[in-house]
Amino acid sequence: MTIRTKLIATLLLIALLPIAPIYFLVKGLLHKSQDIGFNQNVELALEHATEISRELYSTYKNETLDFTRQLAESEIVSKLILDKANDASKNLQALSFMKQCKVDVFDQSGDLVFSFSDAPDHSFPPLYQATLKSLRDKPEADFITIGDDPGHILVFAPIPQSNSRRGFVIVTRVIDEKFARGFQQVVTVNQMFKTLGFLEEEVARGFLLSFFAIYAPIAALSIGLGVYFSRKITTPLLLLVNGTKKVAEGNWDHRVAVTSNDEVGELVAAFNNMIATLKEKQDQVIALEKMAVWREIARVLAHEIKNPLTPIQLTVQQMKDKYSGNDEAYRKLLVECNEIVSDEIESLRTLVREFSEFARMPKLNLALGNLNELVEEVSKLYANRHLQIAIDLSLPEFNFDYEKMRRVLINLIENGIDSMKEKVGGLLQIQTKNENGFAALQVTDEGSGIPPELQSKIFEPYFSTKKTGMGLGLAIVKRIVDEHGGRISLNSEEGKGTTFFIHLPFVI
Amino acid sequence: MTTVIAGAGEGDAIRVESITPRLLNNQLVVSAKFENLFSNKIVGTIQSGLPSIIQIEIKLRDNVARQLAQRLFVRSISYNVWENRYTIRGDSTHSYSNLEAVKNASSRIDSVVIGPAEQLRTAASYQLQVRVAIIPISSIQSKKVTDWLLDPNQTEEPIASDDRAGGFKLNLSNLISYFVGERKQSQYSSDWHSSPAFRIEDLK
Repeated sequence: MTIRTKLIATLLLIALLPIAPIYFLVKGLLHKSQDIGFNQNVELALEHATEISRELYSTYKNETLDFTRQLAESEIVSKLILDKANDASKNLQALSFMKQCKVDVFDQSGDLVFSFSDAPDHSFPPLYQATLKSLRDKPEADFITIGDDPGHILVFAPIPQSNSRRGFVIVTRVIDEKFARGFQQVVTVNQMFKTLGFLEEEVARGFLLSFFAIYAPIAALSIGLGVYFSRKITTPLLLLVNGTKKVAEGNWDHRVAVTSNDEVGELVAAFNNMIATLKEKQDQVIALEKMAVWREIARVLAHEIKNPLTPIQLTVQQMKDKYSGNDEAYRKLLVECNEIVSDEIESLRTLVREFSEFARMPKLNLALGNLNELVEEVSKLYANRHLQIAIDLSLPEFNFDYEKMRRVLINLIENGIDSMKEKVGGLLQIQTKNENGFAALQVTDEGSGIPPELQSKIFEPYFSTKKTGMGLGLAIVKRIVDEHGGRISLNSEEGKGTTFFIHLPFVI
Repeated sequence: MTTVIAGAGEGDAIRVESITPRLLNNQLVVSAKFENLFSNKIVGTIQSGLPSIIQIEIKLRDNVARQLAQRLFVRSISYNVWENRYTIRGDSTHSYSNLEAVKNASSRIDSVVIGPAEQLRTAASYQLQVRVAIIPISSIQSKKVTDWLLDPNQTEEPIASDDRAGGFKLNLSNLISYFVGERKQSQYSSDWHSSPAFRIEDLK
C-alpha cells in the first residue's frame, strides 16, 4: 500500500469514524428532548390550560349574556325604542355597568337607534347588515359567532314586547387584551403540540438530515483537502523515487522539479543538490582516472620513443660523416636526409619532453606569492599584443606555485591568441578578483569560441581544436589548478569568444 | 406530499364497516359506515381547534374489476374552542354541540350518488369499493408548526468571519425546516373495502 493510499485511508477514517457515535448521540439527544417536550404531562397541562381558558371565557360570555338580556328587558331601552328620546341615552349609560363594551340598540327593521361605546378608542368588529337581518326575528338571546377571535364577545338579545318585537340589542364586549392574547396563545400552543404529535418522527428526521447536511459537506471538504494535501506531499516523493531510479540507471543529469517551499520542497532541492554534487565528484573521479591513464600512456610513450632517438640520430650522422664516395648528388642527399631526420628527431624530443612533463608533473612548490604580480609580469611578455589587464588590489598574497601558475596563465593566453588568429585586433583580457575566500583569475578572448558539444572535453589530454600541438595545454592547466585545490570552468560562445575562470583557494 | 399511515395510530385500525348499494330515483347510490375513525389522538387534535378532513373514495367496478366510476367525498370537521361548537362542512354545513353527534354524523355516508342506474346493465354483476381516510393535520398546519417550532430559535451561525464581506451565515432553522417542512400532511387511512357483488335488478 502506497503512502498516498495510507494517507487517504487515514483521512477517510478520521472524517467518517465520528459519524456513527455522533449520529447516535444526536439521535439520543433529539429523542431525549422530544421526551421532555412531548410527554403526556405537557399534553395534559396544555389541555387543562385550554379548558381553563374556555371556562373563563365562558364566564365572560355568560356575564355578557346576562347583561345584554337585562339591558334588552330594561324600561330605559323600551323607552328608547318607543320615543327615540335622546335623554334616554344618559340613563342607558348609567345602566351600562359593564366596562369595555359597546351597546348597539336596533329597532324592529334593523336600523340603529342608539349606540354607546365604553371604549371609544377601541376598534370594534363591524356589524354587517346581513347579520342584523338574520337576527331581526330571532326569539332568543344568543351569541353572535365571530370566528376564532377571542378578543370580543358579541351577544344578541331581543327587546321583548307583549305583541310584537320592538327591536334588539347587541353588546360587544372587549376581552382584556392580556387575557385574549393568553387564551389565543394557549389554544395555539395546544394546536401546535397536537400537530407535533403527528410530526414527531418527521421533525426528528429533519434534525438528523440537517445534521448530515452540515456534516456531509464538512466531511467531504476534509476528505477533499486531505486528498489534495496527500497528493501534494506524495507527488514530490513519487518524483523523488522516480528520480532516484533514473539516477541509479545512470542518468546523472535528471533533476526533480521543486514544486513547493515546504519541507518536501527542501527535500527535493537537497536531492537535486546531492545528485549535482555526486555528478561533480564522479566527473572529477572520471577525469582523474582518465588523467592517470593518460599519464601512464605518456610515460610509456616517452620512454619508448626517447630511447631509440639518440641511436637513430647518431646512425644517420654516421652515415653522412662516413661517406667517402665522390657522388656529390648522393652526398647532398645524405646531408638533406640527415637534416630532415635531425629535425624530426628534435620534434620527437619536444614531444617526449611534453609527454614526460605531463606524465610526471612535479609536486607543487607552494610559496607565498602575489597573483597580481604574476599577471603583470606575464602580460609584459605579450606587450605587442592587444591585451588588457584588470587587477583587484584587495587580493591578498597566498600560497601557490608561482612557476606553475605562470605556465597556466601563459597557456591560457596562448590559447586565446590562437583562437583570435583570424580576428584582427581581438582583445585579450586578464582579470583578478577577490571572491569569497578564493582568488579568481579570468582570461577572456574574443576568438572563435568553443562549440558547446566540445566544451566538456576541452580539458581532456590530447584533445585539441587546433591543427598543431598535442592537446596537452589545457589538460596541464586543469591539472595544475586541481593540484592547487581550485577549479577551472569556462564560458564560451561561438563567434564571440571564451572566458576561462580559475578559482584558487587562499588556503590549500 | 401525503404520508399515508394504515390505521389510526393507536388501538383499532380505521375500517369500512359496511357498504350498502341501492337505487334511489333511478340513481345508484351508496351508503357506508366507518369504524374507529376517531382515535383519542384525532379527537384531541380536533378539540384543539385544528380542522380535520375526512376523505371517502368510492369506486364502482364491474365483474372483471374494471373501474366504471369513481367518487371522492370530502368533509371537514372543525371545532370552535370559544363557542364549544363543532361544524361539519361537506355538501352542506351542520353544527353540533357534542362530540358524539359529530362522530355519528362523520362515520357514515348516506345515499351518495354513483351514477344513473340506466347506464348499468341490469343483469351484470358489480361491486363497490370504499376507502376512508382522515387527515388530522393539513400541509399548511404542518408548515405552520414547523415554522413555529423553529421560529423561537432563529439561530444564525456565522461560518466565515463577520469582518469579511464574503462571509455568510447559515440559518439552521431554514435548513431544518427545509427537511421538515415539506408541506407534509398526515393521513390515516383504511384499506379498500369491497361490497358483495350485486346486480342492478337485485336492487330494484
